[in-house]
Amino acid sequence: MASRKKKKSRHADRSVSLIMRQGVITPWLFILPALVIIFVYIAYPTVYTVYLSLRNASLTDWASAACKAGQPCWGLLENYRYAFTSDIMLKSFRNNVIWLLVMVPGVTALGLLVAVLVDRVRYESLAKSLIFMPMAISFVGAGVIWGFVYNFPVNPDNPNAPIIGLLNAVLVGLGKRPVPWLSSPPLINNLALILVGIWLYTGFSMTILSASIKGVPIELLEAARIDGANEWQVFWKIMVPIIMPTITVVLTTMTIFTLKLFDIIYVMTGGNFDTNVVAVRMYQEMYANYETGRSAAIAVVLLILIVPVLIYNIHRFREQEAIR
Amino acid sequence: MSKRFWYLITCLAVISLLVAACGPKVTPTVEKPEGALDCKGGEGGEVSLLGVWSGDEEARLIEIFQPLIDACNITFTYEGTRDLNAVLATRVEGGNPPDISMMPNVGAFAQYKANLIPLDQLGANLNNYSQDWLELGTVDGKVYGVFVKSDVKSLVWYSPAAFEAGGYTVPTTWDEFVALVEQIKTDGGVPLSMGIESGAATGWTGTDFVQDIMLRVKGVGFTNGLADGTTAWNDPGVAEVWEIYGKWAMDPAYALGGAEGTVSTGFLDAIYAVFADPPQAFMVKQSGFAGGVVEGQYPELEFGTDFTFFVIPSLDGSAPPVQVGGDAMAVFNDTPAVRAVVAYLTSEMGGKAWAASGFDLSPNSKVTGADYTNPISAAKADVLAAASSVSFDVGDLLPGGMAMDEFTAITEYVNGGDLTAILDRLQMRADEVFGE
Amino acid sequence: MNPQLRERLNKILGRIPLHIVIVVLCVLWILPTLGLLITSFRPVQDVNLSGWWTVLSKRSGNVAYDTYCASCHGVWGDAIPEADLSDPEFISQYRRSVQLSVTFDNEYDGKIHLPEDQRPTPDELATILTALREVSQGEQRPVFWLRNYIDVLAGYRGRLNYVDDCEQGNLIPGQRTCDFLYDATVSQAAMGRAFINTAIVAIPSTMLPIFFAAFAAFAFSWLEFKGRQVLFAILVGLQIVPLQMALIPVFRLYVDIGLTGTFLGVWLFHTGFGLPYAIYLTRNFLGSLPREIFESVYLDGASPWTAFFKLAVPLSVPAIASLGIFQLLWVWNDLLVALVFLGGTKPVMTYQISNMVTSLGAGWHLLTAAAFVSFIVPMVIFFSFQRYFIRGLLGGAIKG
Repeated sequence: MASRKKKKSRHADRSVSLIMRQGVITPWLFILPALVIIFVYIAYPTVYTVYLSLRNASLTDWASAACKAGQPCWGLLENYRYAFTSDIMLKSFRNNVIWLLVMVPGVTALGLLVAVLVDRVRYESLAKSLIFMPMAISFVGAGVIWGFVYNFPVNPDNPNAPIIGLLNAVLVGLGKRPVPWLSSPPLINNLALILVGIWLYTGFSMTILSASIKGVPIELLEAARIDGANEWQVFWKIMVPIIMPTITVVLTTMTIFTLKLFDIIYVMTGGNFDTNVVAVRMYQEMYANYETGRSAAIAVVLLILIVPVLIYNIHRFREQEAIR
Repeated sequence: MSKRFWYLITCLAVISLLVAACGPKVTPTVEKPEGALDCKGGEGGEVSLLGVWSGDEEARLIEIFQPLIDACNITFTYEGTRDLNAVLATRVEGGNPPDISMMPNVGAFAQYKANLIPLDQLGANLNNYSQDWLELGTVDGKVYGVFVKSDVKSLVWYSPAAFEAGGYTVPTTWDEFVALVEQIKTDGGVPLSMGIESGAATGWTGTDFVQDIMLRVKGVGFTNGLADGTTAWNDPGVAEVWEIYGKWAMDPAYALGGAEGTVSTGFLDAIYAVFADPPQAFMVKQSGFAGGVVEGQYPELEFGTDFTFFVIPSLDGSAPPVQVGGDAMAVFNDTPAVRAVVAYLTSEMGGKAWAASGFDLSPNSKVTGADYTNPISAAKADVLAAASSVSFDVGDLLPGGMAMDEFTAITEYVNGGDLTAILDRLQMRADEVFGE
Repeated sequence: MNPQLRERLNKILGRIPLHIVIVVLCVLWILPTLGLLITSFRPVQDVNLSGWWTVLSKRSGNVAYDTYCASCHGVWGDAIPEADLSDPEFISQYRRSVQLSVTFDNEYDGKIHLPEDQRPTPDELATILTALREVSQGEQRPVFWLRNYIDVLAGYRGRLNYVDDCEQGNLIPGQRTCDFLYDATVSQAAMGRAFINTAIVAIPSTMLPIFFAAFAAFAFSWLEFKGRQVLFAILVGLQIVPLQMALIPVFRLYVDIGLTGTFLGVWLFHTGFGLPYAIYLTRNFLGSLPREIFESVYLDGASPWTAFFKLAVPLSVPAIASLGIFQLLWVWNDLLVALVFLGGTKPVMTYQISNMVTSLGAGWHLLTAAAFVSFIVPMVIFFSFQRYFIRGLLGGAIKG
């Protein structure tokens, strides 16, 4: 602890010297091009979206105009009443929570496992390419692929009827009744969809974490091994702390991906059978129901949901700068 | 690395330029063929078209336009997308809409009426269409959409051989149809294949079926009332019809796989199942396009002898009401070339070209059964001609994209949802969309 | 045993579980894709009727035939001249097995065709008829064919498939010649053309965000300025903004300044939506570099620009490589942005592929072959970028 404090004070001195050399304008020259592009393409549309979220479906009036006497109404925030209280949105939130709880740790842990394991074998590039492969296949392709896994036989009561889905072929082969994976009760079908997500994104976390593991100085690991630490300890005590910033990056990005996730669900179930999530709902409100105001409100809700992740990242940002 | 990168970019650019330059310059002979085709001064013009059709459908469309291309040298830029709503909304909002859009949903006319051009101003041959068809495309007294394609929905497809082997005959009244379903069930067969899975639009084959039952059991007026808000979704009559459908759809003795099978089986797979060998079920209720689906999957089968359809019969055996769907042309930009397209597609010649292409039916009243070269299309045209009345797909008529809610509702119902709650929710949504 | 040898043996044996875990994971991961690969070589009619894993299984028709029919009709089916099962014309009148089953009650020469208790089940009968048809007609669909790939490369839309439609003279839209090489590269719907469009979209859309992100990330990690942390947090947060929300505002802007339908418009759009993530990832990497290496160059009198070009950029090659792969993938597989801003005028691969399927889903089997055609480039790039992920690239840069 003491040494850390010492480092912090040193850091303060040094940053002063850096500022003196870099001037006040230079940093802005570095970030300005990026800022301008981001402003035009993301920030401005976001502000516009916030405005839309306060308008009615056809954008002809403020959202409060859609209120009816004798029914609950949030006035200008009427679209948010829908976004936060309607049945379908509550179900979507619930499903998003399931996705976050399973997909984010699942992808990160599996990616880390693969990255650590393949680091020790000669056919590393081949193994990594195989795990990475799903990332390179378009979502539509992935939908077709998993169709062949989850497909429910046309005639489930006749074992001789053709079966196209791999999982159900296995079940029938074992003498069990086939399961309609995608229209089963909520937990099963959501997990079936999440499995597709994990299959797709493990290649992502593996690639990033693997690059980070390559940066861990081998001398450090060797030193620990010589000191008698077993592989398990080397992993948790040496490796994980060093790559922690990258793990945070993967967790953060996966959280964002998961909240935004649209294609898998839209392609495979269209949000039916209680598998809807917030991003799909946003799309449906906009392009199927022409409820632009509600759709915009849902997009803003996504922005709000991400705030805790931001706070965590600022926290870590400060921490990282303090100890380096 | 960067040097190599720019080298690559340059190479790609050069290649693409070469490719563009080497493309075939198709300059069709600009001599006018026989009579009826009026180019409206749009010779050599360009027309951009947006629609949901692609694959084989796109091929049909180009085939239909070919006489116009030959005569007027009009260049078509056709864009097909399943995301029609997203693309159209963006283009229209952004102020750069396509010249012509082919709309599968009547609600879109009201949605875009501020941007659409009334078709009578463009020289459309509206007198080639019956009042029913024109009314579907009319908003506030102006005709914004004219239907170029239609399809018959009230058909039940079956295998005559399987019927013969089982000793079944085609029913002539609604009660006979119900009795036939019961009889097949009693004999140990599965009467119906009812799969409604269709990705994001899962449920639409279910709502089609429900509408056909409703047309017969509750009448045309009651059914059409759903589309204009005069019939309530939570009316007991609606529930009665949904329950007739649900009794079959959810029971494995009536429908392949019962509720699980109905919601999980793709609508195409549901068709394949009836004509497979051995057949998994005896009948599938599906629109006219099913004929082409069967031909594609089983090239050895012949229409008429190996697969055919009957129209779901009416209560008393008289000419039944027929449910139809269709796609309409709507125009965003007025140019001479666009006028030529509008005039051509709505003309007798255009309608006949449509009929000859085998791309479902043409609602053009100048088109007769003899114009259909494809025997399945000809048979479907006969159905339409014999119909006691024609009822448009309610889902496609509903404003505010309520069709999607209807699809979701039927899916939820078959999957075990509470019917009263589901219909109440539909009525709430109807209040919203009709209130606006 | 020599202790050295024993130690080596132990080491090898000790690694077996490691190999097993990796191999099992890899097999699980490619199994679904393997299904797609096999399916992409199958005729669509078969895909709809049987699982991909059944491709090599033997048909059971002959067994059922031997059980029920061979005793009267003979092993070759031609024992009864009036019902010669090896005659293609005779067999072709039975297109479905139910037509055979109705003959069982008939009497031939005063003898019932097949007594009730000796009849095959409907499933067996269907396999018998299939076998008879194959034997008598000699012609059958191949188990595998290349036509799905031919259709995809030609960007084919039409009734049957490219080969058959060309042979039968059916119309194929899009200025086709039925010269496959031409149709796959030059004609309007050709995949070759779309491939070039995709490359033209993807390469700048991958390079631009990385380029701008590198500068910004350097500033966020090694330069001091007001509002640095807040700005960074906002950038992280902007990753959540759904692309759909930007389509209309940006499209309106493009119409005003004439960027619709241009590659530049798409490049900038992808740059905009790629930047927050690119900055985030690159900053994380640059920020983890040890302070000392930057201090030493500053002490040597270098400017921030020198530090950026001479130090930060070379050191962040692994980060840039992984970033490049992902950005390339997203852009390569993007349909929505290309559809809205380029549409049919400059069709990219995803556009052509999605348009081979009709609005009713017919032709979806082409998606199987298309998935492999479109994923070759990203896979090759991933494989070739592996060399940027090797240990020790940072040399002595990182000290504990």
